[in-house]
Amino acid sequence: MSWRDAAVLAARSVRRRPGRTGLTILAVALASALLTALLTISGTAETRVLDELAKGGPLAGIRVAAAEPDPGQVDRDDARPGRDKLLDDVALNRMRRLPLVRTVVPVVSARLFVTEPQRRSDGHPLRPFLARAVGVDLRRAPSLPVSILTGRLPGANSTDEVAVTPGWLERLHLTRAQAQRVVGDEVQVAAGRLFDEGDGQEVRGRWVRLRVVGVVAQEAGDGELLLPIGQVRAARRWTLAGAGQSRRLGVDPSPYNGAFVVAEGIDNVSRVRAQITAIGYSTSAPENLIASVRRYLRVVEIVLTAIGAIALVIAAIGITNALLAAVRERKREIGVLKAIGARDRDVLRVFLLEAGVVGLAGGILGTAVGWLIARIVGQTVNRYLVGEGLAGVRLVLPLPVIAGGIIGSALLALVAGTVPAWRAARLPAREAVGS
Amino acid sequence: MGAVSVRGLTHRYTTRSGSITVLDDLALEVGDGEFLALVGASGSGKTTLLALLGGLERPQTGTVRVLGEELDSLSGDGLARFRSRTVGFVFQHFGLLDSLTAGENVELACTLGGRPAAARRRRARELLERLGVGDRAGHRPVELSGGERQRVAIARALANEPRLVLADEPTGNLDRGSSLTVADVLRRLPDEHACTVVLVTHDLELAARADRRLLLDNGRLAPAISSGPAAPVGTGTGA
Amino acid sequence: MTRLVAGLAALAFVLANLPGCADGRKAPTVLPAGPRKQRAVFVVIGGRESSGSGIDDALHKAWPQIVFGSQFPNGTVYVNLARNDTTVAEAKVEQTPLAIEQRPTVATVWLGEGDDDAGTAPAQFGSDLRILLAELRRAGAARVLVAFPPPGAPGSRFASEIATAARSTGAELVPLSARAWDPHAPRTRQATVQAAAAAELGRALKR
Repeated sequence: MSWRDAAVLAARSVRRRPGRTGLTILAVALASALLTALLTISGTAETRVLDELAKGGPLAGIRVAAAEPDPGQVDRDDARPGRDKLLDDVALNRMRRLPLVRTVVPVVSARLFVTEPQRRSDGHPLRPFLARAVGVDLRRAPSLPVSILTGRLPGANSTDEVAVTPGWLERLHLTRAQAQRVVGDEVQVAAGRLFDEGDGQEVRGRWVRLRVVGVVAQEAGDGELLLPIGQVRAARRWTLAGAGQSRRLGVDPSPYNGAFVVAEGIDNVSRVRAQITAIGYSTSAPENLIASVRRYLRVVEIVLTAIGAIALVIAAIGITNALLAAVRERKREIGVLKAIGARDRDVLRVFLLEAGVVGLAGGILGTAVGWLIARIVGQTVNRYLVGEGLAGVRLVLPLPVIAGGIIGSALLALVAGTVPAWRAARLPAREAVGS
Repeated sequence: MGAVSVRGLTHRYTTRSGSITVLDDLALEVGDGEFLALVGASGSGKTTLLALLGGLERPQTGTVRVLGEELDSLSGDGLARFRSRTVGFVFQHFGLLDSLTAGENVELACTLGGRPAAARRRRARELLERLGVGDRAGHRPVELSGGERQRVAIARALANEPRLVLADEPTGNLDRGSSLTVADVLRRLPDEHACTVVLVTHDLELAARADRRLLLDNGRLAPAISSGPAAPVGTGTGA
Repeated sequence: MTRLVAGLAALAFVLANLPGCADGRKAPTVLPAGPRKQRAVFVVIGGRESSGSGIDDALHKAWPQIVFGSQFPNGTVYVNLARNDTTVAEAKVEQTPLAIEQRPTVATVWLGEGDDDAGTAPAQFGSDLRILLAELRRAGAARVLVAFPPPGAPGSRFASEIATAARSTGAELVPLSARAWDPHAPRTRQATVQAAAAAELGRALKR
């Protein structure tokens, strides 16, 4: 008897007992639904938490300040920097050559005088103010802790585009949910430069008008504006070329105000931080926070998986029980099959396939139901999050979970069906004529 | 050479209360194309003998040869092949698979006999037609009468053109009318299908149609029971 | 078990307190860098009329701000180097090098009032102005606009030197309206002059 013939026979047999088969499929489906839902929810929670911790950038990122390390702070996530120290290309190149460093992205910043917009969102006049602008090579934005809340990033070489941060929204009295309202706004900024004027000093501006193209959450540096690095450098050049005491205009003379160093994987963050400290710069990275959150997430995942696994074991016992009952009931039928020429392995195949069909059907149904449950949970959570003005979650059903749910259920059913199938195969043909 | 040759066949069953000898140094020869009826009281070992002849069970002592082949020398798969191609079984309980239609039941036997897929359906249709149940091919066993079911079962037994048909109380669950029809069918098998038929029954009318009747008593076949229609024998209610 | 509960509680807290917005966050997509465009650079050289001093809300009402805001596209760099009471000789050595440093594409020059007060000789004025304009042109300023004061306005006594210097350097003369100057109302004068200058220089830039 071929596998195909055995499959037809198994399918017919499954259909002949719709009640029992249905209940067994339901048990498998419930278990795999539970597992799928739990894994999807825990996977999404992990992605969300780690995304938030990374703020869109790599989790293996380390912020380097243009400052000496404070010996008492080196192991802290939010280490307080020591005394100012020039951060130049020589230092950055040393960092680039360190082992386990994937990339080094320099960060510059400047203080800009803002005269446009002139009004807040509620119509109140907005007096000119000083805002810090952060400049990075935007081609390397994916390596940076920058994520887009709305709109997009400025073009890497653009001279007329700017992205603003939630700090800017606050200044305009806007909530994050209203971020879209600032996209398209025009912003007029000036870098100041001190000029000696007789017995005093006068500030002259280097003005630029920019268009807001997006709102970003960024942790590359403190600032309300995010610009291509060239723009911020030009502004700094203007300011730093002025008469002495340029620091009064808030511009640090260090060529770079900081750098973002990405290690080769989250597990190497500590070692890279130690190496940068040895070079003589202060670093900070949320490694301790991420490590503890990951530990908790792992525990949650283990607990949820264990619950799902227990459900699957219960389902497997259900399959075994149902098939054993079927073997008991169908002793004579098995005997007849053997009497008309079925070999032991033919009978084994039929029963294994019956188990497999039940497992596969349960797996498909369960994975679909599990995804549905996860979606419903996701929507409920989203309603709450959005109501609280927080970012919603986007559920992702990972392919391994789908494949695992379906194939795993089928395999589990096959394992569960092995003993009954073996028993059936070993039944003597004499059962055909047994009384 | 006869179709069946049994020598020194002894078979015991062990129960909690001890060992029961069902067949005791039994010898039997069945000629090719013969229609033999085995009769005997209930528990006399008729069905056990039938199971041994059909390779459903292995002999404990003695030899069973069917068409020259000694069954004890066959492997498990060899016995399965023997059951599918050399023997056809007809059971009192019909033994049809409820999940399959009448046609599919016959086709299943063809499948186990190794017939190619295309030939199976043709063979099943042909047999069901010849047994007068061609119009019932698409029905499930529960939709058939007892007589129809047994004719389907006979069609299945004949699926792989067996040289030996073994029937265990084939009319035991049938009304009189159906019994007669089935009896007729079985009687014609040696002529129409060139096979030997060994029948276990307590239906005297059916036994009377056999070429030869043997009485199984105390594990042995009673010697001189004459051929041809004979006086009623046995009073058992089944094997 | 207690630790597990504490951990779950911490996780719930982290989840509930994460910042975000209703439409969710996206990882940044990098736009193709695109070619570096030659950006417009607008520099202003001049005296009191251009420096914005004495005007209410100079950040929005001074004519250079108005012209910058209305005549140039986003991304244009604008630097105003004007200084009160400056003479053309001072502008030549103080403002012009800074202007050239910015690599201007468009420059405006409005001088004369400081030289009126300083009593600069017209010939000297003309010579210094020509050098100043020529340097701007040499630095790459495709357009150099020179304010041409109407009769009676400050610097009007240098009118012919201004015209000659502009002609000889390829700079464009922008005649300013006489109506804007009202010698009896100095406060309004500034605002009116600024508005008129913005309109006239703006029109000139459009050409």
